[in-house]
Amino acid sequence: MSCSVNIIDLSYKIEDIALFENISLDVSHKEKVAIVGANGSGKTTLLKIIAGLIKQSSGEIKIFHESMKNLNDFDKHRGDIGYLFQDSDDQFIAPTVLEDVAFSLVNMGLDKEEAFQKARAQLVKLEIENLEDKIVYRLSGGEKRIVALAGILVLEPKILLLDEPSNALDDGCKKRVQNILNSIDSSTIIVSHELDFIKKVECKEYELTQKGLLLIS
Amino acid sequence: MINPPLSISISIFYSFFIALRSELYIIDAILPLTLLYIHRRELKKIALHLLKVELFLFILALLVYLFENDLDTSLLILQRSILIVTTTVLIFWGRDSFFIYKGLSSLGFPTKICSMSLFATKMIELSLKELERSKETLRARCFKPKTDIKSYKVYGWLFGVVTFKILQRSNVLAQSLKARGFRGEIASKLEVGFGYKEYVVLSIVLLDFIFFLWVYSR
Repeated sequence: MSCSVNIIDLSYKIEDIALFENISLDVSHKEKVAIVGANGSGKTTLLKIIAGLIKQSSGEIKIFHESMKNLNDFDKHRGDIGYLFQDSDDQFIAPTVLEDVAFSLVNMGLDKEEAFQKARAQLVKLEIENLEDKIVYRLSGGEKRIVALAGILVLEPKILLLDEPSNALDDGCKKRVQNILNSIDSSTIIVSHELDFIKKVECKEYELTQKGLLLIS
Repeated sequence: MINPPLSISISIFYSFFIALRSELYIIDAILPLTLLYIHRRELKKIALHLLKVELFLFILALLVYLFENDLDTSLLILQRSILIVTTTVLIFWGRDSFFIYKGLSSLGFPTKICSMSLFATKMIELSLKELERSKETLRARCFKPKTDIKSYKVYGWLFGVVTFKILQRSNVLAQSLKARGFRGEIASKLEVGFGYKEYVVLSIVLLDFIFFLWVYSR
Protein backbone atom coordinates (compact mmCIF):
# COMPACT_ATOMS: atom_id res chain seq x y z
CA MET A 1 0.00 0.00 0.00
CA SER A 2 1.32 3.49 -0.75
CA CYS A 3 2.52 5.49 2.24
CA SER A 4 1.68 9.07 3.15
CA VAL A 5 4.25 9.41 5.92
CA ASN A 6 7.46 7.45 6.52
CA ILE A 7 9.42 8.05 9.68
CA ILE A 8 12.86 6.46 9.57
CA ASP A 9 15.15 6.21 12.62
CA LEU A 10 14.03 9.52 14.00
CA SER A 11 15.70 10.91 17.12
CA TYR A 12 15.30 14.16 19.01
CA LYS A 13 17.67 15.47 21.63
CA ILE A 14 17.49 18.43 23.96
CA GLU A 15 20.99 19.49 25.02
CA ASP A 16 22.41 15.99 24.38
CA ILE A 17 19.63 14.25 26.31
CA ALA A 18 17.50 12.07 24.05
CA LEU A 19 13.75 12.68 24.25
CA PHE A 20 13.23 9.69 21.94
CA GLU A 21 15.55 7.65 19.75
CA ASN A 22 15.37 5.64 16.51
CA ILE A 23 11.66 5.89 15.93
CA SER A 24 10.31 4.36 12.74
CA LEU A 25 6.73 4.39 11.56
CA ASP A 26 4.89 4.09 8.23
CA VAL A 27 1.46 5.59 7.84
CA SER A 28 -0.36 4.31 4.78
CA HIS A 29 -2.83 6.17 2.63
CA LYS A 30 -6.02 6.85 4.65
CA GLU A 31 -4.64 4.92 7.64
CA LYS A 32 -5.26 6.16 11.19
CA VAL A 33 -2.54 5.85 13.80
CA ALA A 34 -2.66 6.84 17.46
CA ILE A 35 0.40 7.47 19.57
CA VAL A 36 -0.05 7.42 23.31
CA GLY A 37 2.54 8.12 25.94
CA ALA A 38 3.19 9.67 29.30
CA ASN A 39 3.43 13.42 29.79
CA GLY A 40 6.81 14.68 28.58
CA SER A 41 7.50 11.60 26.46
CA GLY A 42 7.82 13.79 23.35
CA LYS A 43 4.49 13.19 21.60
CA THR A 44 3.97 16.84 20.67
CA THR A 45 7.60 17.19 19.59
CA LEU A 46 7.27 14.12 17.35
CA LEU A 47 4.11 15.53 15.77
CA LYS A 48 5.75 18.93 15.22
CA ILE A 49 8.68 17.23 13.50
CA ILE A 50 6.29 15.35 11.18
CA ALA A 51 4.51 18.65 10.44
CA GLY A 52 7.83 20.31 9.58
CA LEU A 53 7.61 22.87 12.37
CA ILE A 54 10.80 21.81 14.15
CA LYS A 55 13.85 19.90 13.00
CA GLN A 56 14.76 16.45 14.23
CA SER A 57 18.25 15.71 15.64
CA SER A 58 18.70 12.78 13.28
CA GLY A 59 16.68 10.47 11.05
CA GLU A 60 14.48 11.02 8.06
CA ILE A 61 10.89 12.03 7.32
CA LYS A 62 9.26 11.22 3.99
CA ILE A 63 6.01 12.82 2.91
CA PHE A 64 4.43 11.05 -0.07
CA HIS A 65 7.75 9.19 -0.60
CA GLU A 66 9.67 12.46 -0.85
CA SER A 67 12.43 13.00 1.69
CA MET A 68 12.14 16.23 3.67
CA LYS A 69 15.77 17.32 4.01
CA ASN A 70 15.03 20.67 5.65
CA LEU A 71 12.03 22.57 7.00
CA ASN A 72 11.52 24.50 3.75
CA ASP A 73 10.85 21.22 1.90
CA PHE A 74 7.57 20.96 3.81
CA ASP A 75 6.27 24.22 2.29
CA LYS A 76 5.03 22.63 -0.93
CA HIS A 77 3.00 20.09 1.11
CA ARG A 78 1.58 22.70 3.51
CA GLY A 79 -1.91 22.42 2.04
CA ASP A 80 -1.78 18.62 2.35
CA ILE A 81 -0.84 18.60 6.03
CA GLY A 82 -3.38 19.68 8.64
CA TYR A 83 -1.97 20.25 12.12
CA LEU A 84 -4.19 20.62 15.17
CA PHE A 85 -2.39 22.39 18.02
CA GLN A 86 -2.66 21.11 21.58
CA ASP A 87 -4.00 24.46 22.75
CA SER A 88 -6.62 25.81 20.34
CA ASP A 89 -5.74 29.42 21.27
CA ASP A 90 -2.31 28.83 19.72
CA GLN A 91 -3.88 27.84 16.43
CA PHE A 92 -6.29 30.73 16.00
CA ILE A 93 -5.07 33.62 13.89
CA ALA A 94 -8.05 35.57 12.57
CA PRO A 95 -10.51 37.18 15.01
CA THR A 96 -13.86 35.59 14.18
CA VAL A 97 -14.77 31.93 13.64
CA LEU A 98 -15.58 32.29 9.95
CA GLU A 99 -12.47 34.36 9.21
CA ASP A 100 -10.27 31.86 11.03
CA VAL A 101 -11.72 28.84 9.25
CA ALA A 102 -11.23 30.65 5.92
CA PHE A 103 -7.66 31.71 6.85
CA SER A 104 -5.73 28.83 5.26
CA LEU A 105 -7.94 28.79 2.16
CA VAL A 106 -7.22 32.46 1.44
CA ASN A 107 -3.51 31.84 1.95
CA MET A 108 -3.66 28.93 -0.47
CA GLY A 109 -4.78 31.45 -3.07
CA LEU A 110 -8.55 30.98 -3.01
CA ASP A 111 -10.75 34.00 -3.74
CA LYS A 112 -12.07 35.65 -0.54
CA GLU A 113 -15.76 35.02 -1.26
CA GLU A 114 -15.14 31.44 -2.33
CA ALA A 115 -13.09 30.86 0.83
CA PHE A 116 -15.89 32.20 3.03
CA GLN A 117 -18.41 30.03 1.20
CA LYS A 118 -16.29 26.90 1.75
CA ALA A 119 -15.67 27.86 5.38
CA ARG A 120 -19.40 28.34 5.94
CA ALA A 121 -20.09 24.90 4.43
CA GLN A 122 -17.51 23.39 6.82
CA LEU A 123 -19.18 25.07 9.79
CA VAL A 124 -22.55 23.63 8.69
CA LYS A 125 -20.97 20.18 8.30
CA LEU A 126 -19.68 20.30 11.89
CA GLU A 127 -22.97 21.87 13.10
CA ILE A 128 -21.34 25.04 14.44
CA GLU A 129 -22.76 27.57 11.97
CA ASN A 130 -24.24 29.48 14.93
CA LEU A 131 -20.68 30.46 15.97
CA GLU A 132 -19.83 32.11 12.63
CA ASP A 133 -19.45 35.69 13.92
CA LYS A 134 -18.14 34.89 17.41
CA ILE A 135 -14.65 35.98 18.54
CA VAL A 136 -12.57 32.79 18.67
CA TYR A 137 -10.86 33.50 21.98
CA ARG A 138 -14.18 33.85 23.79
CA LEU A 139 -15.61 30.46 22.90
CA SER A 140 -15.90 27.59 25.39
CA GLY A 141 -13.16 24.92 25.41
CA GLY A 142 -15.29 22.44 23.44
CA GLU A 143 -16.35 25.02 20.85
CA LYS A 144 -12.73 26.11 20.39
CA ARG A 145 -11.68 22.52 19.69
CA ILE A 146 -14.37 22.01 17.03
CA VAL A 147 -13.62 25.40 15.42
CA ALA A 148 -9.89 24.56 15.37
CA LEU A 149 -10.73 21.23 13.71
CA ALA A 150 -12.93 23.04 11.18
CA GLY A 151 -10.01 25.33 10.29
CA ILE A 152 -7.98 22.25 9.36
CA LEU A 153 -10.64 20.05 7.78
CA VAL A 154 -11.75 22.86 5.44
CA LEU A 155 -8.47 22.36 3.55
CA GLU A 156 -9.28 18.66 3.02
CA PRO A 157 -5.72 17.70 3.96
CA LYS A 158 -4.34 14.33 2.92
CA ILE A 159 -2.43 14.04 6.20
CA LEU A 160 -3.97 15.02 9.49
CA LEU A 161 -1.83 15.51 12.61
CA LEU A 162 -3.83 15.93 15.78
CA ASP A 163 -2.22 16.90 19.05
CA GLU A 164 -4.41 15.88 22.00
CA PRO A 165 -7.73 16.38 20.21
CA SER A 166 -9.64 15.48 23.38
CA ASN A 167 -7.78 18.04 25.49
CA ALA A 168 -10.04 19.63 28.13
CA LEU A 169 -13.26 18.32 26.58
CA ASP A 170 -16.30 16.99 28.39
CA ASP A 171 -17.80 13.61 27.42
CA GLY A 172 -20.30 15.13 24.97
CA CYS A 173 -17.63 17.08 23.12
CA LYS A 174 -15.26 14.09 23.13
CA LYS A 175 -17.94 11.96 21.47
CA ARG A 176 -18.46 14.66 18.85
CA VAL A 177 -14.74 14.83 18.10
CA GLN A 178 -14.57 11.00 17.94
CA ASN A 179 -17.42 10.95 15.42
CA ILE A 180 -15.69 13.61 13.32
CA LEU A 181 -12.40 11.67 13.41
CA ASN A 182 -14.11 8.41 12.45
CA SER A 183 -15.73 10.10 9.47
CA ILE A 184 -12.46 11.54 8.13
CA ASP A 185 -10.83 9.91 5.14
CA SER A 186 -7.26 11.27 5.47
CA SER A 187 -4.13 9.58 6.80
CA THR A 188 -4.23 10.57 10.44
CA ILE A 189 -1.76 10.61 13.31
CA ILE A 190 -3.32 11.33 16.68
CA VAL A 191 -1.22 11.85 19.79
CA SER A 192 -2.94 11.66 23.12
CA HIS A 193 -2.44 10.56 26.70
CA GLU A 194 -6.07 9.43 26.94
CA LEU A 195 -6.30 5.75 26.06
CA ASP A 196 -10.09 5.70 26.53
CA PHE A 197 -10.50 8.36 23.87
CA ILE A 198 -8.19 6.60 21.44
CA LYS A 199 -9.97 3.25 21.91
CA LYS A 200 -13.14 4.75 20.44
CA VAL A 201 -11.40 5.98 17.29
CA GLU A 202 -10.77 3.24 14.74
CA CYS A 203 -6.98 3.27 14.56
CA LYS A 204 -3.71 1.43 15.17
CA GLU A 205 -2.25 2.24 18.58
CA TYR A 206 1.38 2.80 19.48
CA GLU A 207 3.08 3.82 22.68
CA LEU A 208 5.92 6.30 22.55
CA THR A 209 8.79 5.42 24.86
CA GLN A 210 12.35 6.67 24.99
CA LYS A 211 13.45 3.58 23.08
CA GLY A 212 10.92 3.82 20.29
CA LEU A 213 7.35 3.14 19.27
CA LEU A 214 5.73 -0.02 20.61
CA LEU A 215 2.65 -1.39 18.88
CA ILE A 216 -0.16 -1.84 21.40
CA SER A 217 -3.00 -2.95 19.12
CA MET B 1 -22.06 52.47 16.82
CA ILE B 2 -19.91 54.03 14.12
CA ASN B 3 -18.15 51.76 11.62
CA PRO B 4 -14.46 50.89 12.24
CA PRO B 5 -12.74 52.84 9.40
CA LEU B 6 -14.65 56.05 10.15
CA SER B 7 -14.03 55.65 13.89
CA ILE B 8 -10.28 55.38 13.39
CA SER B 9 -10.15 58.25 10.88
CA ILE B 10 -12.21 60.55 13.09
CA SER B 11 -10.34 59.76 16.30
CA ILE B 12 -6.98 60.47 14.62
CA PHE B 13 -8.18 63.64 12.85
CA TYR B 14 -10.01 65.04 15.89
CA SER B 15 -7.07 64.36 18.23
CA PHE B 16 -4.62 66.23 15.99
CA PHE B 17 -7.16 68.96 15.24
CA ILE B 18 -7.64 69.70 18.95
CA ALA B 19 -4.08 69.04 20.11
CA LEU B 20 -2.46 71.45 17.66
CA ARG B 21 -4.64 74.46 18.53
CA SER B 22 -4.19 77.14 21.15
CA GLU B 23 -7.84 78.25 21.23
CA LEU B 24 -10.90 76.10 21.76
CA TYR B 25 -14.56 76.86 21.07
CA ILE B 26 -17.88 75.49 22.27
CA ILE B 27 -18.38 73.88 18.84
CA ASP B 28 -15.41 71.57 19.59
CA ALA B 29 -17.43 69.91 22.34
CA ILE B 30 -20.33 68.96 20.05
CA LEU B 31 -18.65 65.73 18.87
CA PRO B 32 -18.08 64.23 22.35
CA LEU B 33 -21.55 65.40 23.42
CA THR B 34 -23.12 63.69 20.38
CA LEU B 35 -21.18 60.51 21.10
CA LEU B 36 -22.37 60.68 24.71
CA TYR B 37 -25.92 60.92 23.39
CA ILE B 38 -25.35 57.87 21.15
CA HIS B 39 -24.17 55.90 24.22
CA ARG B 40 -26.79 57.42 26.53
CA ARG B 41 -27.91 53.98 27.82
CA GLU B 42 -24.50 53.34 29.35
CA LEU B 43 -23.98 56.87 30.62
CA LYS B 44 -23.33 55.85 34.24
CA LYS B 45 -20.70 53.26 33.30
CA ILE B 46 -19.00 55.66 30.87
CA ALA B 47 -19.05 58.53 33.39
CA LEU B 48 -17.34 56.35 36.01
CA HIS B 49 -14.71 55.24 33.51
CA LEU B 50 -14.06 58.80 32.31
CA LEU B 51 -13.87 60.05 35.87
CA LYS B 52 -11.08 57.58 36.61
CA VAL B 53 -9.12 58.51 33.47
CA GLU B 54 -9.67 62.24 33.71
CA LEU B 55 -8.80 62.49 37.38
CA PHE B 56 -5.22 61.90 36.29
CA LEU B 57 -5.51 64.70 33.69
CA PHE B 58 -6.89 67.02 36.36
CA ILE B 59 -3.92 66.25 38.66
CA LEU B 60 -1.55 66.88 35.75
CA ALA B 61 -3.13 70.28 35.00
CA LEU B 62 -3.06 71.15 38.70
CA LEU B 63 0.65 70.35 38.87
CA VAL B 64 1.31 72.56 35.82
CA TYR B 65 -0.57 75.39 37.53
CA LEU B 66 1.25 74.90 40.84
CA PHE B 67 4.75 74.68 39.38
CA GLU B 68 4.44 77.10 36.44
CA ASN B 69 1.87 79.43 38.00
CA ASP B 70 0.22 79.69 34.59
CA LEU B 71 -3.56 79.28 34.80
CA ASP B 72 -4.20 79.71 31.05
CA THR B 73 -1.77 76.96 30.00
CA SER B 74 -2.97 74.52 32.64
CA LEU B 75 -6.62 75.13 31.66
CA LEU B 76 -5.82 74.70 27.98
CA ILE B 77 -4.01 71.41 28.70
CA LEU B 78 -6.96 70.23 30.78
CA GLN B 79 -9.60 71.19 28.20
CA ARG B 80 -7.69 69.74 25.26
CA SER B 81 -6.91 66.46 27.02
CA ILE B 82 -10.47 66.06 28.29
CA LEU B 83 -11.88 66.63 24.78
CA ILE B 84 -9.45 64.17 23.14
CA VAL B 85 -9.70 61.47 25.81
CA THR B 86 -13.50 61.69 26.09
CA THR B 87 -13.95 61.52 22.31
CA THR B 88 -11.53 58.60 21.91
CA VAL B 89 -13.07 56.64 24.80
CA LEU B 90 -16.57 57.22 23.41
CA ILE B 91 -15.61 56.25 19.85
CA PHE B 92 -14.09 52.96 21.00
CA TRP B 93 -16.58 52.27 23.79
CA GLY B 94 -17.96 48.71 23.86
CA ARG B 95 -15.92 47.56 20.84
CA ASP B 96 -14.12 44.23 20.77
CA SER B 97 -10.34 44.26 20.80
CA PHE B 98 -10.12 43.50 17.07
CA PHE B 99 -11.85 46.77 16.16
CA ILE B 100 -8.61 48.57 15.26
CA TYR B 101 -7.50 45.69 13.02
CA LYS B 102 -10.88 45.74 11.26
CA GLY B 103 -10.63 49.52 10.84
CA LEU B 104 -7.11 49.44 9.43
CA SER B 105 -8.00 46.53 7.17
CA SER B 106 -11.04 48.27 5.68
CA LEU B 107 -9.13 51.56 5.31
CA GLY B 108 -6.87 49.68 2.91
CA PHE B 109 -3.69 49.74 4.98
CA PRO B 110 -0.98 47.33 3.73
CA THR B 111 -1.45 43.70 4.82
CA LYS B 112 1.76 43.80 6.87
CA ILE B 113 0.47 46.65 9.05
CA CYS B 114 -2.97 45.00 9.39
CA SER B 115 -1.53 41.63 10.36
CA MET B 116 0.85 43.33 12.82
CA SER B 117 -2.11 45.01 14.51
CA LEU B 118 -4.00 41.70 14.49
CA PHE B 119 -1.14 39.77 16.08
CA ALA B 120 -0.55 42.53 18.63
CA THR B 121 -4.25 42.38 19.55
CA LYS B 122 -4.12 38.61 19.79
CA MET B 123 -1.13 38.87 22.12
CA ILE B 124 -2.87 41.51 24.28
CA GLU B 125 -6.02 39.35 24.44
CA LEU B 126 -4.02 36.25 25.48
CA SER B 127 -1.82 38.20 27.93
CA LEU B 128 -4.89 39.65 29.66
CA LYS B 129 -6.27 36.13 29.96
CA GLU B 130 -2.92 34.96 31.34
CA LEU B 131 -2.88 37.83 33.85
CA GLU B 132 -6.44 36.98 34.93
CA ARG B 133 -5.42 33.32 35.35
CA SER B 134 -2.37 34.31 37.42
CA LYS B 135 -4.54 36.54 39.61
CA GLU B 136 -6.92 33.62 40.21
CA THR B 137 -3.95 31.38 41.07
CA LEU B 138 -2.69 33.91 43.61
CA ARG B 139 -6.16 34.17 45.14
CA ALA B 140 -6.57 30.39 45.24
CA ARG B 141 -3.16 30.02 46.88
CA CYS B 142 -4.04 32.40 49.72
CA PHE B 143 -1.95 35.37 48.56
CA LYS B 144 -2.90 38.58 50.33
CA PRO B 145 -1.46 41.70 48.69
CA LYS B 146 0.38 43.98 51.08
CA THR B 147 2.95 46.73 50.70
CA ASP B 148 5.88 44.62 51.90
CA ILE B 149 8.88 43.15 50.08
CA LYS B 150 7.28 39.68 49.88
CA SER B 151 4.28 41.01 47.97
CA TYR B 152 6.51 42.95 45.59
CA LYS B 153 8.56 39.81 45.03
CA VAL B 154 5.37 37.94 44.09
CA TYR B 155 4.42 40.76 41.68
CA GLY B 156 7.90 40.41 40.18
CA TRP B 157 7.41 36.67 39.68
CA LEU B 158 4.00 37.31 38.19
CA PHE B 159 5.47 39.81 35.73
CA GLY B 160 8.23 37.32 34.85
CA VAL B 161 5.79 34.46 34.32
CA VAL B 162 3.46 36.52 32.14
CA THR B 163 6.40 37.84 30.07
CA PHE B 164 7.75 34.30 29.63
CA LYS B 165 4.36 32.98 28.60
CA ILE B 166 3.95 35.81 26.08
CA LEU B 167 7.34 34.97 24.57
CA GLN B 168 6.32 31.31 24.41
CA ARG B 169 3.03 32.28 22.79
CA SER B 170 4.75 34.37 20.14
CA ASN B 171 6.99 31.44 19.31
CA VAL B 172 3.94 29.19 18.92
CA LEU B 173 2.21 31.88 16.83
CA ALA B 174 5.10 31.68 14.38
CA GLN B 175 4.66 27.90 14.22
CA SER B 176 0.91 28.26 13.78
CA LEU B 177 1.38 30.69 10.89
CA LYS B 178 3.72 28.20 9.26
CA ALA B 179 1.43 25.21 9.88
CA ARG B 180 -1.55 27.07 8.44
CA GLY B 181 0.27 28.22 5.34
CA PHE B 182 0.35 31.98 6.05
CA ARG B 183 1.42 33.97 2.98
CA GLY B 184 0.46 37.42 4.13
CA GLU B 185 -3.30 37.15 3.55
CA ILE B 186 -5.96 37.57 6.23
CA ALA B 187 -9.47 37.75 4.83
CA SER B 188 -11.78 40.05 6.74
CA LYS B 189 -15.53 39.53 6.57
CA LEU B 190 -16.31 43.11 7.58
CA GLU B 191 -18.96 44.91 5.58
CA VAL B 192 -18.68 48.64 6.21
CA GLY B 193 -22.12 50.16 6.63
CA PHE B 194 -22.75 53.92 6.44
CA GLY B 195 -25.87 54.81 8.42
CA TYR B 196 -27.29 58.01 9.92
CA LYS B 197 -24.88 57.90 12.89
CA GLU B 198 -21.90 57.95 10.52
CA TYR B 199 -23.39 60.89 8.59
CA VAL B 200 -24.10 62.84 11.80
CA VAL B 201 -20.62 62.32 13.25
CA LEU B 202 -18.89 63.11 9.95
CA SER B 203 -20.98 66.29 9.49
CA ILE B 204 -20.11 67.48 13.01
CA VAL B 205 -16.38 67.03 12.43
CA LEU B 206 -16.56 68.80 9.06
CA LEU B 207 -18.62 71.64 10.54
CA ASP B 208 -16.10 72.06 13.34
CA PHE B 209 -13.26 72.15 10.81
CA ILE B 210 -15.03 74.69 8.54
CA PHE B 211 -15.75 76.88 11.58
CA PHE B 212 -12.08 76.74 12.54
CA LEU B 213 -11.02 77.73 8.99
CA TRP B 214 -13.51 80.62 9.05
CA VAL B 215 -12.22 81.92 12.41
CA TYR B 216 -8.60 81.46 11.30
CA SER B 217 -9.14 83.36 8.02
CA ARG B 218 -10.78 86.38 9.68
